Amino acid sequence: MKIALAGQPNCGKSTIFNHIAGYKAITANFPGTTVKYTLTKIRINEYDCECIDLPGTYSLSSEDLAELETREHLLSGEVDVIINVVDASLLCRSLELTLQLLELEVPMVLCLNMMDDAQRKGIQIDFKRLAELLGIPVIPAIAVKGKGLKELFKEVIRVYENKRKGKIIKFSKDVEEIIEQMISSLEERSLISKEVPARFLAIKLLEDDPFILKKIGKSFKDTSLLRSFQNKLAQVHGVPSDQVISSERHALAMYLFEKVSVIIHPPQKDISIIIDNILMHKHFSYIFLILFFYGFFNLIFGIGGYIEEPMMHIFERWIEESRNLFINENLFFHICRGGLQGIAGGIAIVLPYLVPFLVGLSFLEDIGYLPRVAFLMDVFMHRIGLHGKSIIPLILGYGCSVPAVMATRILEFPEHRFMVSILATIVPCAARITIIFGLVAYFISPNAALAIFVLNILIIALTGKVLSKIYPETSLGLILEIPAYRIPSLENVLKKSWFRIREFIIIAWPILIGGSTLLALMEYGGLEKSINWFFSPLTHLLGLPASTGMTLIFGLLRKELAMIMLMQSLGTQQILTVMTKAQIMVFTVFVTFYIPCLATIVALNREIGKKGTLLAILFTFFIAIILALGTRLLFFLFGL
Amino acid sequence: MRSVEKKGIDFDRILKGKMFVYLDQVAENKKVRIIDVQAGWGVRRRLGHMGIHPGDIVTILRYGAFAGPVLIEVHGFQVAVGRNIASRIIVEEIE
Repeated sequence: MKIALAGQPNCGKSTIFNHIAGYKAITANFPGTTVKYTLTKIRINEYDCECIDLPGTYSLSSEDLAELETREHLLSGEVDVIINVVDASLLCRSLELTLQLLELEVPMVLCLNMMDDAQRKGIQIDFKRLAELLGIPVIPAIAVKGKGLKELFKEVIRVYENKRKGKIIKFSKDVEEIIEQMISSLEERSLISKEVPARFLAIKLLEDDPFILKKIGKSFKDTSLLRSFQNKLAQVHGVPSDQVISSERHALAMYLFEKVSVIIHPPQKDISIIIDNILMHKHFSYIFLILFFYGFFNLIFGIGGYIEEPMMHIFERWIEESRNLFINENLFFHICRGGLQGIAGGIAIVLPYLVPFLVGLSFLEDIGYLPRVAFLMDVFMHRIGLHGKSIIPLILGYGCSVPAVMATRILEFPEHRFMVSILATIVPCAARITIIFGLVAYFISPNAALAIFVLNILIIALTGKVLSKIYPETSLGLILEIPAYRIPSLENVLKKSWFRIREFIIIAWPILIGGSTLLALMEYGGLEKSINWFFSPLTHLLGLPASTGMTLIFGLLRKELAMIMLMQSLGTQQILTVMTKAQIMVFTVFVTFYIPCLATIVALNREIGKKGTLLAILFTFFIAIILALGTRLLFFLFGL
Repeated sequence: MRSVEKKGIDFDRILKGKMFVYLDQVAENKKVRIIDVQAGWGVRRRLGHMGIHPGDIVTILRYGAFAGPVLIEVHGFQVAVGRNIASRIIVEEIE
């Protein structure tokens, strides 16, 4: 039996999902797209169920990919029961999606979530009456507290057994007449398939749904007939037919809402508004924003550093000990060392930084501050052709590119996701910041390090500008719901973080270990010289010592390895004795910008696909060469 | 202050003597009713899907600094709307 959770954004759908999901829940893409869903297998009574958490959508049009995929999935005939999760405090608006889901004619249960919020707003809902009107079971619940979920799934089973479908709720008479006429003319042309209900098809055609039009347009040659139906509606109502349907649905939702709910008292003064008066203050808000993220990062680096150092010491000792284990530095020692370094690399990224990072991110998401950040940053992001929301992955990029790339999922449009993924990989992550500090700030001057950061921001803005020219903005501007602040449930935060961390562990980590072992083997086989020789055109071009060639490969594995290996391959910690300041600067600029690390490449591949990843690799490589050359020229001209 | 263009609105259907302005010209904490959205198909639709239609009552909560988005409350939830979009929504003040 297959259950699908559908609902509008921020309705608590994922909270319900995480409540029932085991630790084995998986995240997957709809075939051929970047739209994500999560899936888990559960057992209710004697049924093996597959429960899928669809992306939150406001409606079932085909405006963005997430909506389209949600609709396609619900219509695929694979879903046995839909759980429509509804924020009870926003019942009126949510009913518009419910009405559309009913049009799909799939057995359905409505979950009235966040009943406590509704109560606080003074809305009393007669859910039994609502169930009568819609013809489907309505279960009140408070998902964060786990209340009502047992009853919900009991009802899901009952609905599955009875194959009980909801009522069709009719629009005004004249609209219904046209829909009926359309259905009969669709039937005449035998355009109705088993999966797609006729009424749904007719309504979507009246709504001018581009996807349905394209799908059916091939056989529905007589588009003038469709136009005549649309015009008939438009004439009577004075607005285009798609607006007629949308207003009809709106009116129906309002009618249902008024039938089933009473406002018993004026809403209590929302704590959100008081908090927002401070956090969203016209000017001070930006100070809070900076303080907030400064604190966030400090906390994460604090925790990270605290864990990383002792961890790395343990691994270094193990590597040393393994040297004694194998009498000579033979092949096995190298394999063992490479493997250990890979494991250590994973632990040094995953445990100290990624875990607190993702837990913090999930917390921020659930508490509701991120949309407010998007609101505040919208103006600035628009200057580089992006939406306010894009700031979040970019900020995360200063920690680690992997969660930054993963965080692009919050963006609706694939073009934006693509652009921001690429931009986020240019942001110097913690490892690259270490290099900038360790090499440039230490050996040259703090101001030179600052210059690299400024250069980086400029390049990001410029890249954004250029990319937005290639991928023009798909919409006029920001339309973003700002949800009320909510106290997140710890269970939800932890589960959400776990799903994300596990993605890294099972995908990126093995590659890291494999790559590290391979490198160790190459070193053993004396390939170092040939690699340096292979890179000599590049190192020569940038005016770097030939022995830096090998370090660049290590940098691909983990960025800070570039610095550690640099010291190793040059055979000294006192880099100034073998490299000039100019060379150090060129090296750092190159390493800061060139190709993202292996873990990031894997993350990129998952988020934006092979083509996009390849483009990101080529692009960053190209930028790095240009900037490094520019730096070299600058130092040459001014004889620094 | 820009005056509201008459294009696209059926003024006969609207009561006389009311002040029409664009959404980005309303003072904070004022209540208004949406008269018309003079934006493209996409924006009208996206607003519509969030349950925001002509005839709905909207409270302007705050304006973002530096000509940032406008935060409005409608049907009990808050939506941030870009200034560009707000400047295309015609409203009438009701309070």
